[in-house]
Amino acid sequence: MATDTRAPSHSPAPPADRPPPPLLRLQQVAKLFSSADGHSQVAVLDELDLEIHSGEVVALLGRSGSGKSTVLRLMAGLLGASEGQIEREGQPLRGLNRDVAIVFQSFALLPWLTVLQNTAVGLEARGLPEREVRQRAMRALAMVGLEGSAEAYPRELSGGMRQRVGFARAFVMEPALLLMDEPFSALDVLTAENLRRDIDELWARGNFPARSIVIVTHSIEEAVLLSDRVVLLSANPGRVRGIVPNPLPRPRDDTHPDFRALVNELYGYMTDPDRPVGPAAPPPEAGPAPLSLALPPASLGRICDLLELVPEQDGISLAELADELVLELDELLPIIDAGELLALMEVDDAHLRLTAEGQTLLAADEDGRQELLRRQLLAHVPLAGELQRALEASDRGEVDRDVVLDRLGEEYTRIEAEAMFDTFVSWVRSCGLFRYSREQERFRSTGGDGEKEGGG
Amino acid sequence: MKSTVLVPAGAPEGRLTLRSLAVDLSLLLAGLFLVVLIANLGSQMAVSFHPSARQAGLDLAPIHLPYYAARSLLRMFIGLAISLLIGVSVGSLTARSAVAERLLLPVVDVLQSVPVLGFLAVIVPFFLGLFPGNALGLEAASIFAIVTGQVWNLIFCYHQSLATIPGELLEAAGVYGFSGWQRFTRLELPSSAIPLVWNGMVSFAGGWFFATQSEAISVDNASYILPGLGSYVASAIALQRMDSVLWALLTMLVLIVLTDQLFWRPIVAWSERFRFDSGTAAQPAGSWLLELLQQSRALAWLGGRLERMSAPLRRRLNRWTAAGRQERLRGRRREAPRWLDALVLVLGGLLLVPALAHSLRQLGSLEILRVVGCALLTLGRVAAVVGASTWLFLPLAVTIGLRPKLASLLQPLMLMLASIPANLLFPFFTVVFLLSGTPLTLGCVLLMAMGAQWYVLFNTTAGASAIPNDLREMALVFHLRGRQRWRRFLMPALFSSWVTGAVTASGAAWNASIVAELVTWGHHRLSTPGLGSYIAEATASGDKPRLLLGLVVMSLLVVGFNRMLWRPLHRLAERRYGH
Repeated sequence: MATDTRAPSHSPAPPADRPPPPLLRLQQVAKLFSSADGHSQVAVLDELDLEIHSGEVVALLGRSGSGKSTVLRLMAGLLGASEGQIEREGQPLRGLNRDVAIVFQSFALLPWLTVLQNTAVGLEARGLPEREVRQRAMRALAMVGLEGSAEAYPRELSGGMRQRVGFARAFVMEPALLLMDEPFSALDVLTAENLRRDIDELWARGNFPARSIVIVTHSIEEAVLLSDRVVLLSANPGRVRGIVPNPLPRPRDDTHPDFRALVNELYGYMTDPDRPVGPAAPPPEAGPAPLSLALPPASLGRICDLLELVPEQDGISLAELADELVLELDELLPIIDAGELLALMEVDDAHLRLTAEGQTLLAADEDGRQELLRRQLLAHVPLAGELQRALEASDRGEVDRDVVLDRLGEEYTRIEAEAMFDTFVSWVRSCGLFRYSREQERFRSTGGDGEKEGGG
Repeated sequence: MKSTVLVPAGAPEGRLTLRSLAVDLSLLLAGLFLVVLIANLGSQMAVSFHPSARQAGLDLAPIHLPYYAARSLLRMFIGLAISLLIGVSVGSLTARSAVAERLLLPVVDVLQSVPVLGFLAVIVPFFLGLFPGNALGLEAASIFAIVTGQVWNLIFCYHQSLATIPGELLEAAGVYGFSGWQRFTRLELPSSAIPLVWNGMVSFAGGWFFATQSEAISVDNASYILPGLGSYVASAIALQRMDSVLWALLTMLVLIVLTDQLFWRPIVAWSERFRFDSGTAAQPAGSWLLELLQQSRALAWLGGRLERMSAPLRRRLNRWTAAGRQERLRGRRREAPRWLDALVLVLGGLLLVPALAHSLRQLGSLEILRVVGCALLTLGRVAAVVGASTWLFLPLAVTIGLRPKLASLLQPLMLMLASIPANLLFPFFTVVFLLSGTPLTLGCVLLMAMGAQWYVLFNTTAGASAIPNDLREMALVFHLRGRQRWRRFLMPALFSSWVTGAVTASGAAWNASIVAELVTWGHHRLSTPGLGSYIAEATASGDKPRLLLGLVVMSLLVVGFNRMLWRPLHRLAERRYGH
């Protein structure tokens, strides 16, 4: 987007001979966290390359587990990279990045400070004179339309107005780079739409108080509406799958055919993790096989509910489905992933179809469904098979919780492992494959009668 | 963008009226009175004093009671201020450094289980030596006793509040370059304000017991008296003056109501602004005094003036403590090495074991049997206190707690009852025991319960009133009755709050045993074998080896029960019976 016509007032004049270094450059960056058993490292991000230039809006789009927010925190210097290098205008970034401001998902306002004090907090930290602090903060509040509420406390404001304070607090710093971490996702649909438009307008007007924006989002429409480039991240570990340029003229109209076409293209990428992105897509590498034990956080009940909604013969397009269900992609994808894992449905080119097993399941009665789900679980979820063998090998027909949790802990961080363990328990319980007691922390076989255990 | 105008929540901008003038004038007078009073009381603290000279008892004329009460109260407030200061400094140290956390928190945990009263024997001579020939030494010892009664609690409270600051707020503080001063005054202190205030209030109530008890003590066969409510009662007991005891009790009640209305209520109401979750305060606490203060034009003017005057100072503080460029977020701190645990144990052992061995060599090993026997007796009494107060108060708590109106009426009353230091009530019971010939072996259970029972009642009442409304309606609709209602509905619902109450109650009962197993009325002296009387006698006669042995055994018992019984119960309560 070097051809951008906007000339932000404080951007340095580029030297004539060579292009200026990018605002921020991430080179072969990896972020590792230790796995739950502490023996190994789990990569959240790996071999990540990304450049942010002056004057552009970049959207980071990825499913949960792609480490989008981690990228943002690396850029801010809130986290340090485990490997690779991050450069700020050609200089290695060490410690906190003083050129950035963040707008947080949860607003992160201090409830005991007034709107004005919240806005001014970053200027105060610099030890500026009180009069100047106040003037600049009031100007920032005016930009977001809150100058009348300067003396109010955040609790007196609606969610949308609170996030406006979050923006004002960032604007007042006049950061080179404004980072936004899902800034609209804690707001209701209407408010989010409104605020999104306002930010877009401010940017289009040309005197935006930051040179560039990076926005993390899981909403495809939001990415298309705001960005000049959409960076698609793969999950587990997160790396750049590809970059989709967004040349749509501003202001953007979300009903325009070009807009819809771009949205649909991105839907295709998001729902098919193996599909190469863009014309200059990297060759599909053999890559690491998807981790064998991964369990998407969706209940079996939700999967069955979704199956009911898919037309048996033709399937349904995912964009249509998401629209119909009023579900965020973030909520829909785990259910689909789980359905695919159990071989009940398959996704091809953003189109969802039932498999033969899926159709059998729909036709079956309650007992038949459970029977089928048990079979699918044993066949397609490695952890279920392993547990089955362990139970058969045990004298008392019991297996401790820790055995299963440790197995997950070999490949995932503690938090991930615990989440997957909970999913696993809910799956085996709801189809009656095994019994599990939370008090004794033990798995037991059901003795074949499929009797379910309540409680917990 | 649209702009929305809200009513500013700033300073009052009322006009000058007769009423506002009256408010300002009365506040001014009250302020002047307070300053003069404190100056006067403070100068009284440093009078000369000779331990050798025989001290007369206090003048028991009721007219002197306000003065004695004020002396006690001043000690309480100094103690509270010191406790807060220590709590905040040690709490932020442990929250910042993993090493400090590993080293200090276990020590604090043990120290909070150690019976404070037993320490007076060690403290008093030390502080007397610090201020020779001056009563300040005694004052310091008394304040020290108050501090040791509440400081541990506040350390944990502050540490815990810092640990639960939302992650995105910490990140915001990093990204927006908060200076150290801003971090402290804008993030850390406000985040912990509400827990600190509530903890301080409860600790303050508990502190009266130590304040009154430490004003008149016998150490090393010498008795020391500091003017105050506790020493007034002690003198009344020595002279068998029941009327004076009653006067003291009345003064105590007035004092409790006054501190509640003039100090805690306004602070609690004011601290509401530091709540994280917006707008969902159960019942916004009101305070007439706070409203009055907020109406005052003079105070608003003074506040604005101070704020403007201090602006350059704050700016300088921000510069001095500016966040370094290299500063990383203190999100995930590095783990402290595990061997620090062992270090704490070894150091503790190195301190204790030789001293214990020395004591045992002096006393003979059979003394251990005696101590353990005493400990078992007191343990039985503590169990009886917790059991009996549960059995008596659980039905009462349910009756009150399930009726919101009754609860809101009685809960403040219960907190006040809980604030009455039990030792002020002892003389009445002692006289009854003497007249009826009740053996203290049983009677002292009642005495210990006087201080401890309220925690059970108070916590379970709060638990009962916190039962969600739909659960209550369910119990009614499905006709849960009698045993089934208790087993399936009330007991699980109240379990968590009962555990909290019972832990506190048993701690209070252990502490109370030191004063409850040995009581006097004039020349009558009632005593019963137990760990409490063992420690009390060793204190009075300056028997250091026995004192050490008794203290160590009691601390071990309290710590042991906390670890083996209460903590697992607490975890169970959280896991299974959390709402």
